[in-house]
Amino acid sequence: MTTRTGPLTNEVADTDTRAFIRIEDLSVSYGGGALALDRLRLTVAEGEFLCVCGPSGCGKSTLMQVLSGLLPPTTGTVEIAGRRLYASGRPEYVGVGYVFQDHRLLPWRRVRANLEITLAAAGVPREQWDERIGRTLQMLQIEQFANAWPLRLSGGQRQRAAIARALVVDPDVLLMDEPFSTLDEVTGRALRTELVEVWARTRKTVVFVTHSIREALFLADRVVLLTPGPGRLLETFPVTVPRPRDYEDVELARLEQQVVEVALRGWGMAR
Amino acid sequence: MTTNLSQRRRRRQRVLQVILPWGSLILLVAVWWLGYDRTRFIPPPSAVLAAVPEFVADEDIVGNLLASLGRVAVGLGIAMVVGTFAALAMASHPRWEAFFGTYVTVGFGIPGLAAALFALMIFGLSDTGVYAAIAAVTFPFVTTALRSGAGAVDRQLVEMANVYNYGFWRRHRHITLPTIAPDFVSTVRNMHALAWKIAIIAEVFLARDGLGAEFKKAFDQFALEPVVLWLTVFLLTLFGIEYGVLRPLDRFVHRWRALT
Amino acid sequence: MSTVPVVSTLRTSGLMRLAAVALLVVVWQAVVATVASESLPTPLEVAVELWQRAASAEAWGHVVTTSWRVAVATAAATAVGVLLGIAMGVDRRAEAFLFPPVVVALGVPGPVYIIMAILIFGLGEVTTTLALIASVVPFVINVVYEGVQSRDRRLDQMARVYRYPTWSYLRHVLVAQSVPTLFSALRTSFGMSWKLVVLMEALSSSQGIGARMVFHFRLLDPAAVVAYLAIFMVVMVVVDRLLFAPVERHLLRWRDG
Repeated sequence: MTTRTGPLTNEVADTDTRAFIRIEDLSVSYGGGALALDRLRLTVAEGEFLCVCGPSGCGKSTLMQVLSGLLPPTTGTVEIAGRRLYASGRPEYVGVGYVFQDHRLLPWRRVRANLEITLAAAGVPREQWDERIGRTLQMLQIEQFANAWPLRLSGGQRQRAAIARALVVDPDVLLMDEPFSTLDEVTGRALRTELVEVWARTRKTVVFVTHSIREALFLADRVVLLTPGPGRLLETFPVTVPRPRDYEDVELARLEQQVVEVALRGWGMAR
Repeated sequence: MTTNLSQRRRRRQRVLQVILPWGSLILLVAVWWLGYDRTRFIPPPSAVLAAVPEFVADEDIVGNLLASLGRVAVGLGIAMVVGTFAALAMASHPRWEAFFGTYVTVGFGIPGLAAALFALMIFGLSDTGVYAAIAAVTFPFVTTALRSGAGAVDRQLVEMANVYNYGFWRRHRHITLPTIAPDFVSTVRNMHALAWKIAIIAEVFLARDGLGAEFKKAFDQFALEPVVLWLTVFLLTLFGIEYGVLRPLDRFVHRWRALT
Repeated sequence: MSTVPVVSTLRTSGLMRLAAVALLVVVWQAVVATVASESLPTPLEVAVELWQRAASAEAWGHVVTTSWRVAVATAAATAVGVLLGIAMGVDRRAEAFLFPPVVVALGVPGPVYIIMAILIFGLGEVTTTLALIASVVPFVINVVYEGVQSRDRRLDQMARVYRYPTWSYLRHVLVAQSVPTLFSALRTSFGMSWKLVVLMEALSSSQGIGARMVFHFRLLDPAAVVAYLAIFMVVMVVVDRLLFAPVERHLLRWRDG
């Protein structure tokens, strides 16, 4: 798809009408009048991998909360899969999978139980559970840990379990909030590569929040920069480097320089 | 539009937060009003309201209140003094830890009734008995609370005191007591309500005046009105002191601690 | 601190404990001899009385009555207190509604509970036990409420995102991490019930340890009063050691492991 933006504008010349997630004029206030997000406009195509980058306080978590159906916006509209969210002004059910920065698995339940509880909450019929769990755990390469206690697993394995939980409900959208930022470099790299493979197989629409520009460029079809609070769209960068990508790729490094430059200017940190 | 709906929701939530705290009182009065005749001795709410003018005019409210308050103050005061002493001793040597610790353990198990009866047996119908009962029941809590503060005294100051050969009094006056002064106030605040409760129990058995004695009188007459009215006086006093005096004092005394 | 050999420290502390008890007995004897010679029994008189009482079936009948009341009150107060405490800790509206009455209830003295119960229900077994339950519940609510408030909120957020239904949330997320709190609630319920049962009995019943204490007091038989108190405290310590201490050790063990 093609998008072009000018720097520091909210205008996105969007020629793509197959938008799976469509956010128009989204503003969310903290309750005291201050805005977390300010007239944000964003679209995500089906099966697209979108990365969102921004400094602390740019409203990334607020955006994720809105997308998961938990936070009605103050103004603006949100559509997922053609369905208008928050039509009644209240929180509502959205089929999302959410991966947090800390795994947030129930430590007193085995991995399998964690998945089953989530399947039950999503209303998936019991007959499908075993098959889904088996398939998803295999995809994340942790089928041998189905009966393990989460705290006995390593950080990387726990995040895989968290990702498995997100995928097992077959969500419309996969939301990921800095899921690899607490992992060591080697585990992080391994998981990034595997995430891309899983995404390629399942073709889910992914919104991935991260602080790391390099990570964003490695993973995404498009990288979106937000401004510091209140969050607005600063710039969009399509990433056309062919997959599978190399984390050390020269092209990615060049793009990273570009993005960082724009970010520094836009976040008021340039010299 | 979405705006109005979410704004309306927030406003409704705020209204609820203001009304709900009163809900239990409203519910209580409603149940009372609708069901009083099914109870043994409870009159309708109107009877209590009607009794208010007479109550305010006749009863020596202030007198009884001050009597009870005085006992609470003295009893808790004794517990604070003895407890401080015990806590300091316990912090200084394991020998005293074991010694006073025994009294603390035993003290925790004394029910209010036992304290009252014992006080009655030893002191007869007197104020001293009430003081003793309050002190006996609150002493273990006070000692435990101050013990941890006393044990956390700055080690370097203690070393300095050893080098300069500070005796018992000088050491505690200049080092330990200032350190635990904030704990002292907090302990008073925490023990305040318990002291009141023991005072009331003791007064029921030992006293001729004070709030506990008034409850006993009402109890003997099977009359609800005085119970409700004296209970209101009691609660107003209790919470008045708690929120009006002790908590602000507690915050004030802890202000220097917050900065470290 | 200087290194004191462990064994001698233990022996010293044991000796000091004995010394503390001995001092108490001595002071007791002195008080009886001087101040309150008629109304207070000597330690010896109490010991004799205790021996006789412990052998009598009548005394144990009262112990059973009191214990039964404590058992019922502990169970009921725990059940009610846990439910309301969880509600307060989890739901904002329940918190706003219940907070003021709980604070007030914590301040109301025991005698007022029993007076109210008698005025509502008249004298009887139900009255005594109900007053006891009512006076213990606020303490249990307090313990549970504070425990639930200190839960891991991040799991709450996860459960919200994945739309866990309320019962699933309560069962799999909240209660699972609140086990120590619930145990503490049970222990609090038991402790407060023991402390207050004698007061309730003294003011409203003719059966039970508290009632007997007042009865013998009125008969000017203080030795019996103290004997009953001793029995009371012994039973309390025994039950606590037998029932709660092993469970507590069991709970802590998996945490260390």
